[in-house]
Amino acid sequence: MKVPLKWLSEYVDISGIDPLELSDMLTMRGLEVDSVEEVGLDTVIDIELTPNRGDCASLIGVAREVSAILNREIKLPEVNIGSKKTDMATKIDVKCADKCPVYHLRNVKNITIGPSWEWMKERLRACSVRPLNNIIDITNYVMLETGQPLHAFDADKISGDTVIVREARPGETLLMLDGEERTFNGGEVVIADKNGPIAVGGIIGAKDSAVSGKTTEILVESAYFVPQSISMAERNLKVKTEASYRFAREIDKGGILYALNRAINLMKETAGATPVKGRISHDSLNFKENKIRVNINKLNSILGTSISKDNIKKNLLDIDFDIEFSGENFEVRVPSYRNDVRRPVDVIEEVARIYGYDRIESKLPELKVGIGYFEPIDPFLEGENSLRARGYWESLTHTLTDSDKIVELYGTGSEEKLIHLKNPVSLDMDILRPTILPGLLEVSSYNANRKSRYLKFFERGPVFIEKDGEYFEEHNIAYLSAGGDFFEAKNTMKTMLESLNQNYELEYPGSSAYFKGGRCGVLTIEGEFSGEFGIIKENLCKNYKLEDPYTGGYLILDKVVKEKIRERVFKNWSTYPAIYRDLSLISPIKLTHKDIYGIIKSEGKKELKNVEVVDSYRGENLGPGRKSITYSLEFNSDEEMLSSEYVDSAVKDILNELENKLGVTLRPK
Amino acid sequence: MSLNEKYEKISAAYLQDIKEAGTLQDVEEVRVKYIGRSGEVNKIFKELGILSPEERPAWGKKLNILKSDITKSVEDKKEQFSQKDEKEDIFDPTMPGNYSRFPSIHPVTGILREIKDIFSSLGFGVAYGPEIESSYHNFTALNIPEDHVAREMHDTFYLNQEDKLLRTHTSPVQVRVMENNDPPYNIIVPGKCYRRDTIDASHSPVFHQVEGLMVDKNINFADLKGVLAEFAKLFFKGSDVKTRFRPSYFPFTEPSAEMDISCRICQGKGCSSCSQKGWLEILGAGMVDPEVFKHCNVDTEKWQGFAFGMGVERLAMLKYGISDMRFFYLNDIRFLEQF
Ligand SMILES: [Zn+2]
Repeated sequence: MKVPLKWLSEYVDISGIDPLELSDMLTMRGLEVDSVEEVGLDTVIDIELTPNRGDCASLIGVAREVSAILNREIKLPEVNIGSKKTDMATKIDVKCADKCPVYHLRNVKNITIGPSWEWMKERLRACSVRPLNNIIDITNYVMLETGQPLHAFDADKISGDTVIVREARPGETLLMLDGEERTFNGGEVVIADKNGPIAVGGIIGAKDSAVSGKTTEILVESAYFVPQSISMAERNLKVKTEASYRFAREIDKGGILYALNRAINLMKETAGATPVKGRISHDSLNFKENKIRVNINKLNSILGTSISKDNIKKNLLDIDFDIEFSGENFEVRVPSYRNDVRRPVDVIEEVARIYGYDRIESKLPELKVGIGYFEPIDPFLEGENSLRARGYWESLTHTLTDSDKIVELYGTGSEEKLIHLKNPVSLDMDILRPTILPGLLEVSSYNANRKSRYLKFFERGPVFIEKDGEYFEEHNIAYLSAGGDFFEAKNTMKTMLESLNQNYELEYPGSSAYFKGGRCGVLTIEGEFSGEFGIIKENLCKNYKLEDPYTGGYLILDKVVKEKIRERVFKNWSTYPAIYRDLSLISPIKLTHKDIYGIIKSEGKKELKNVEVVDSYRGENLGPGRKSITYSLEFNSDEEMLSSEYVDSAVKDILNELENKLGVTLRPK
Repeated sequence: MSLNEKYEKISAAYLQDIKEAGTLQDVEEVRVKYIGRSGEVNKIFKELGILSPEERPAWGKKLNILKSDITKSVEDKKEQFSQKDEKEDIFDPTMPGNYSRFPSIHPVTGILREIKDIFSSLGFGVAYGPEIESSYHNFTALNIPEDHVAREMHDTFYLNQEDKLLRTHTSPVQVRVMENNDPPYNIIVPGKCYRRDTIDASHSPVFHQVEGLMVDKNINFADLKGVLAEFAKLFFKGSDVKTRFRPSYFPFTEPSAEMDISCRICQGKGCSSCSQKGWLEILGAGMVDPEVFKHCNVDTEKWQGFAFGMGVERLAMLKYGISDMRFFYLNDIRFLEQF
């Protein structure tokens, strides 16, 4: 809301107050001043209004606040309300009084359209309103002055003798003042004559019924349109105006006629205009000012203050709230323009606002021990740290991403569906990400183009998927490394899981949505699928213009057993020296480490404490289809010193089993 | 010369000799002169026979210490020569070796941690909630009815499923916490939020907020001021950080306030960083509106308290002097490695 200070000073004396000082005072009263600018010979302050203060979308509204702050009188233009008896021939028929409970029309004849007064044009311009002609300028001027939007129809363009206020029918259209033809959804309030709509109630007029250079007679409308109905119509028709802005914030229900007659008075002063006596009206509102009862103790308990009765009274009288005390309660009568004050708590806010937030002494509440429904610390921090220790940088990408680049991963047969936005802001952000990996590919691609050295990134955050018609949100941590091999991906996952103290299993299923066939692994925690890792599929990399192999993985944090993360049980170790045996084995090439390790572990007695791979190789000397793996076995006992003979026989049992079950033998020396 | 005189003389002389030794050869000569088999120290040892048996052990000890002092001085001196000599294999401790920087955390994560730390020291716990929300939790329960001007201020992303949207603030988690738990409440809610904004220097369709809620029998506006001013002091690390509270409007609080901190660049005089105001807005707050309590079945006769919300990127920009919101989501390594 732009407020030219010279104009403002017509309603309240601001002499001796610096514009910056005045701005500060308004800001501290909740009317935040955004800028103070010199426009022509005047200073204009721009107030960023909060939606509750529709009353201050007017010069008089701001003047009231200034008058309360400076304790200086407010002077309003004298307006002759005129008689109720009328010579007007027009009738009005309000068919939707729930959406338009008050509707007044006055009639002005013998108009000569021309430019308006220079001083008026200047003020309109200062408020960023374009001057058009004397009639329209006056309606705009009075709207800026009082906050009540007015509309002038060219009386000759209205067919029939009745102005109808009704709901629009679905599919009805109207060519509006801004030159656009819009179609109604139905239910929006329109002003109509017998041929159809001539304006959208409270929002915008029609091109056809507008005041033009040839206009000689007008009907001037001043009404009350219900805010919800205005917001709905604004949304349906995608149109916003100075008028709808004010109706949506609710106008002063006690000032509808004042504004109308103020405009008529101004029109009278332009050459030759003759107002027709009286007006025609519909008023089913029976407006009464709000009365609210407030408890003084409640007021002081909410604010943490001990403001006295006298002080409360003074503060409320300052803003023209009448107040009457009875015991520990008081009742206020709220002025008609303060629609936002409806409940006791609203009155409490007004008292605090006028008393001054800065005068409420701040204190610290007594501390209480927290309540057990929240997570007191970040349980996954160690997982993140394990990634950083391996050289991964944290990144943060948009959870909205480009469906084109990943849609191929989600075939039509997939039971998991991408979640599309109904109203994306751009096409490269049209879905919620189903995985963090594409974001990391994007980050890698961005940095690779800039020849950066560090190309390992991780990110933690939610991913989204639709399954069986329901939306799912899952928390993941994902990592991506440029170069590296399968084991970079695998061991990064392992160290992360170990840092989180999880019991997990790794499996190698052969195929995956994101990872290359045969170069991917799946992890399970407590038997449940909890993540994947491996070498990223080539075509996925290509979508992000990346060529080198990229490896990575993701862990579903929701599957991590939180209780385990900090759980530890101390176990003592044997005080006897361990005995080691290295076994160089020859195995068919198709067997995996896991197969051989499994037999060693299951066959080894309880004294077999540890099995490690120390070497592996393939060579022609081993024979076709063979490979060699060397294991180091550690034996020990908690109870006694083991003998060589005992260990040798244990090794022999293992070797027998390996040969019988897998055809794995000791490599000849 | 008495034993004592001889001892004193050797003690002074060997230091001088070592100092003057110019080559390895010289040092070796010094060694032989003093602690060689027939060196000066051994000569005194041989004279100890003239002493009484009571005196002998003390002298023995004294001479052994002298001997080891000389040995050490000789070795130190020799080392200097050997370092000078091995010119081909000079060790360079200023080389970087096998170094890599410890990767940083993202500044948004860093700020979030700081905020969590501060509020947990003030007795707050942390709660989380879904990012795909119902319009009931995001709007209606927070006293933002449909077709109300306040709802328009949240430019919202909708999903295809009826009634589902991406939360426009973290406030719905407040509602969820109150629905599922009995008061008192003392929580903060960090998380991502979504608004249908085009990306520019100060807007991003995805951003982070921290919401807070403190409700008990007697929590009031004075507590709100105290807790939030304390936060500002701890966060901006200075007791000279001034705060001010201005009346404002949020549908879910009444009375509502915005908290400003004094501009740290101009100390309140007004500069381009603070649009000449001298103050920077950092958070919104207020006493929980009775309507919100009603939606969550919290008895307003018994309970009262405040809520607040702040933008994490904005705080990071103020704290680190970051000029453009887009930096946060580009993840340029030159940006990340500064945190
Ligand atoms: Zn400044």
